[in-house]
Amino acid sequence: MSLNVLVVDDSAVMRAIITKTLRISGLPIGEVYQASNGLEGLSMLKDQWIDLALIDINMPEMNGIEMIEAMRQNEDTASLPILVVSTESSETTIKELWKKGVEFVHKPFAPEVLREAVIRATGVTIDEESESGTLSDSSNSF
Amino acid sequence: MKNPNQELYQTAATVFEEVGFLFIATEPENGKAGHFEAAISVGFSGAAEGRLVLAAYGSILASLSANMLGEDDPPSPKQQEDALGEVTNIICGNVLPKIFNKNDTFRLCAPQTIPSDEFSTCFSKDCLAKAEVPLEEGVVRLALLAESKR
Amino acid sequence: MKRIIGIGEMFVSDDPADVITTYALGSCLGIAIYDPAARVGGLLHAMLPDSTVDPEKAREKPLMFVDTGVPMLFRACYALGAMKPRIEVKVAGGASVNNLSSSDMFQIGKRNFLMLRKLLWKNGVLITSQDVGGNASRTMSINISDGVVIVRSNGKEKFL
Repeated sequence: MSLNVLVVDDSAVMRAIITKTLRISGLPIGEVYQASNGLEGLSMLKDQWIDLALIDINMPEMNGIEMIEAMRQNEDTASLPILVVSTESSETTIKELWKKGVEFVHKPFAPEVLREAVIRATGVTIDEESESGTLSDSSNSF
Repeated sequence: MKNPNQELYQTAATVFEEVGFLFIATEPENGKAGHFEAAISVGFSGAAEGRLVLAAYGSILASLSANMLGEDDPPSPKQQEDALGEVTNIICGNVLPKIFNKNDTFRLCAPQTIPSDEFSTCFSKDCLAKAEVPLEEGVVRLALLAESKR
Repeated sequence: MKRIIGIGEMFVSDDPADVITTYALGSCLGIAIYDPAARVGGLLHAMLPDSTVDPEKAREKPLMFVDTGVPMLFRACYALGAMKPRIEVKVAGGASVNNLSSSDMFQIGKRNFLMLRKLLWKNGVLITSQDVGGNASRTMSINISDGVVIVRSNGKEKFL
């Protein structure tokens, strides 16, 4: 089984960082879909089969908290594993998220921390034969 | 009492090191300002209202964005600015609870590119916190302008 | 067989009888890699982050530097049959060495670890476990039969 993941963040660079982390994590990752705000994310959830959503909080159009509220009210996505990846530091907000069964990763994060959180949120394990990073020609690549 | 300037410096230095793999300059010949590259503003509201402005001088953008993405070559200019915007956003999100209260909630706006003179005006104002971070690739200046709602 | 490596040295092996050890990791970084399927592993003791600060030294002793030593460690293990997606990376050292004569203003330990993270990120490799930072000196060893890494510090032993 491989996980289809939705990454929702308004920064294209952050989406690329999260996607790369998932790809090199050794976890069985299938498709990685990207959205730049909560509205786009909800529309993606209607159109695609998603097993895990990684969501930023501060985004234009619709923020992450509003997107999670909408997901929890829709029976198709009510129990979908969610991982919030955000700079949010307010203990009150983080506790509220935990109550909703949401995992939390604080930015800045080491890629290993994100991998651990994906494992906690979904229960998947590392698949040693999975794809790893690509080789480039520079002298310090390996 | 926390020193806001120190909190801003320390947070920015840590984010540039951990997210951008850029080292703080230890040699005096490094860490010189150089030419203006780009400036970003991240507005916020909640327990306090204001904005964090950041400007990069020297040759920070190319290294920062390539390192963030784990690439040898820098990405497009648009992605380079996006990278600086995300770093500013992370600094802002991390420094606010250190200067205000750890339980305070803030809502951050999307990072916006601002012209050099707008940054200079902000930097010359009486700010809540200011910092200059010397990196091996150049210098980053930051100013936090805020009004507490308490 | 017990193999000891010093500063700026590495040893790689596919002999299950080998245990590779390095002593006195202060701000230096000990990097142990292991492929459990091929039972191939190695240990590097790197001293400084960046080879570009001293190109002559880097040519002479590339293993002294994290940015040149780590690729050599990986390639040497590939030559013995290790495969990148299976490789486990365990790291120790990178301490902040404060004493009366130096205030650690260059933060070599922190820079060594940052350089390693930058290099691994670029090459798409994550760290399996680590014992880095702090102020204590460490001894690190890897057992080639099973890849177990032991770090000793302040009279205590830790499995990575």
